[in-house]
Amino acid sequence: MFAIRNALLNAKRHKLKSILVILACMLIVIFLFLYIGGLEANSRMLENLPEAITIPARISNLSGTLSTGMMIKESVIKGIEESDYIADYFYTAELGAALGAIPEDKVSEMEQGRMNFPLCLGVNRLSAYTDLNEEDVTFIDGYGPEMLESDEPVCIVRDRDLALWQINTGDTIDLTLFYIIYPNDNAVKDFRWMGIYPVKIIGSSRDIVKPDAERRSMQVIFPVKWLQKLSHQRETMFFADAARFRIAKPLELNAFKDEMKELGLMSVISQAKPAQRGIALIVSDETFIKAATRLKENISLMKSFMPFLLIVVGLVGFVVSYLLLHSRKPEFAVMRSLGVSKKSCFIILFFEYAILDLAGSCLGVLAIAAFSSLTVSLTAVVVTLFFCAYMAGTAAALVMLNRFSVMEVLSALD
Amino acid sequence: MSMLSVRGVGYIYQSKYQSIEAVKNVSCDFHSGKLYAVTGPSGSGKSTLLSLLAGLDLPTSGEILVEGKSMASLDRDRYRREIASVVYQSFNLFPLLTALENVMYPMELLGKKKSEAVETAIQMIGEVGLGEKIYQQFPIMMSGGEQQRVAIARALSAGGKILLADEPTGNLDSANEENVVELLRTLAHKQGFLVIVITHNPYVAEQADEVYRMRDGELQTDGRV
Ligand SMILES: Nc1ncnc2c1ncn2[C@@H]1O[C@H](COP(=O)(O)OP(=O)(O)OP(=O)(O)O)[C@@H](O)[C@H]1O
Ligand SMILES: [Mg+2]
Repeated sequence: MFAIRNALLNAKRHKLKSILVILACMLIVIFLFLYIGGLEANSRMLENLPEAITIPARISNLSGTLSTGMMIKESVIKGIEESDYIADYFYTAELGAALGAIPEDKVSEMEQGRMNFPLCLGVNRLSAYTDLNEEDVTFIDGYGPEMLESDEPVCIVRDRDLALWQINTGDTIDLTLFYIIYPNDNAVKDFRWMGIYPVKIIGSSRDIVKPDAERRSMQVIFPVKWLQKLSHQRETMFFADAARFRIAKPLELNAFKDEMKELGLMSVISQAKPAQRGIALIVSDETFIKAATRLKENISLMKSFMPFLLIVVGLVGFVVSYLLLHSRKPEFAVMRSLGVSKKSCFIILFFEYAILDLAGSCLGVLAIAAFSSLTVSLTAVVVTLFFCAYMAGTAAALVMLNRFSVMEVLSALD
Repeated sequence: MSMLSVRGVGYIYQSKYQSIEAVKNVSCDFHSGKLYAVTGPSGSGKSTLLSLLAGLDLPTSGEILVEGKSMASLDRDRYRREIASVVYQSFNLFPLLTALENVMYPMELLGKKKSEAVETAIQMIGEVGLGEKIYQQFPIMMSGGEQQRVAIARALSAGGKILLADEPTGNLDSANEENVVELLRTLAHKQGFLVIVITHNPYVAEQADEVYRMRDGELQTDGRV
């Protein structure tokens, strides 16, 4: 009680010195705010980086030249589907198709001519077909784009082909499907008869004429899951022709890449012979990695500098306190001669400086709050760190000053 | 029993380069109700002995007994708060406290109520012969004699039994000197204090009940009563 009151009175009596201490504390607190605030902002930016910068990835052939028209094993697709590191995956499978029922024995002649079948595309979502926008498709009542995520025998047909084939949306038509193989592992396609299937037309799409289109305009679009179901029923292999996705946990990029390696995906080798097998992984992570690395470097630099900074704050506390207290040595000697114990001396002066330091901190907080919004946690962290570091310096100065011999100081005065 | 007894006390200042034996094998007794003077040439160890009596440090040899109890076994801070007070030639007072606050300081250390402390302080200032106008003055505005008397008032306010003064009249003119010596005599004879005064001044020594003379750290009794 006496200590606190005395400390307050002393602080008031040594007005100029007190103001100096308060100002010093205020400046240090402001500096710490800017520093730790910057550190926090960087950490927050790193945390939010995945939302700010997405990392797209796709499957390609080993040479990295293809993005569609490949043969991607179903196990790879399954691995992608099940991975925790992946969000928003899209994959497609190309097929040949013909309107009406064409029995298998009629096909060999057509094959020899290597005729171009109308192309159709299995998609796991409408947007997997990148060339087509949702506005380009009109669905019949009771059906919507989510039908393409099912494994039902439904399809969307181009307007032009509806007219050409004289069919209507809502009809159920027979389609003869042909799967595609690349017998020489080059771009030359071979169509193989697969079967005749009744399919319901649930919508129509506009013809797409885009100079930069990824593939030829598809005449029929259907759910790729249905195709997978058919393959399983026929006990034949299913291949996707394209797959792309977004990485859900960009900060765990390396774990993701390890998982992809386990799926058998390799890095692109640009010297490799262009082939059709989709066995390579292309991750467009340069932007993200650059930004993340820069942030991480900043953060670790600032963090590693932190202890040093606190030591400097402590040193400032020591020097300021030492200089200001040094001239008051005779005062302490008189205090001691009047029977104030060493401990009480320490406590009284520590309180005096603690009050000044806190006042300075408050002013610093107010100054910062005037210019930017403050969080309680940041304020608590800054004030605590400052107070501990600075008061450690003050305490050290007090311990050093308190070690004088009262006799010597008093006799030196006489 | 003597209030303070000094038994074969020696004190050595130990510094990095040399050690100085300031007090050598001193033995003497001090009784309550008496005014003692300690004289001797400069550097003879008077201040050192006084500081030891004030418990500011312990003797390097021998011992000092306070009412029969060894100083070494006492809480010496408490001894200075409650029993013994020291007055120096200069810088006795806290420069940033008023006279009244200076006198109140030891009482605040003892945790007395503020109103009580003010009352006692006013009484003590009166006893050392100072008036109301001194209360709110800071030491820098007071004369040397006034400062010395405020210092004595402060020494008395804790209600101790021993007053130790190191050249209390060194900075005073003869009129003030007489006042202060008279005050010390009164304290010893009327209020039963043990008063020990270090002085170069033959007049002050004359007024004492007993005079000890020091030379090269050793004590020579004069035995004059
Ligand atoms: N702090 C100290 N460190 C080392 N030696 C000291 C210290 N203080 C005093 N001395 C030495 O101890 C001896 C006694 O000093 P002391 O101050 O007790 O003498 P004194 O009789 O009070 O002298 P004065 O009449 O000048 O005040 C002297 O030789 C002095 O130099
Ligand atoms: Mg002396």
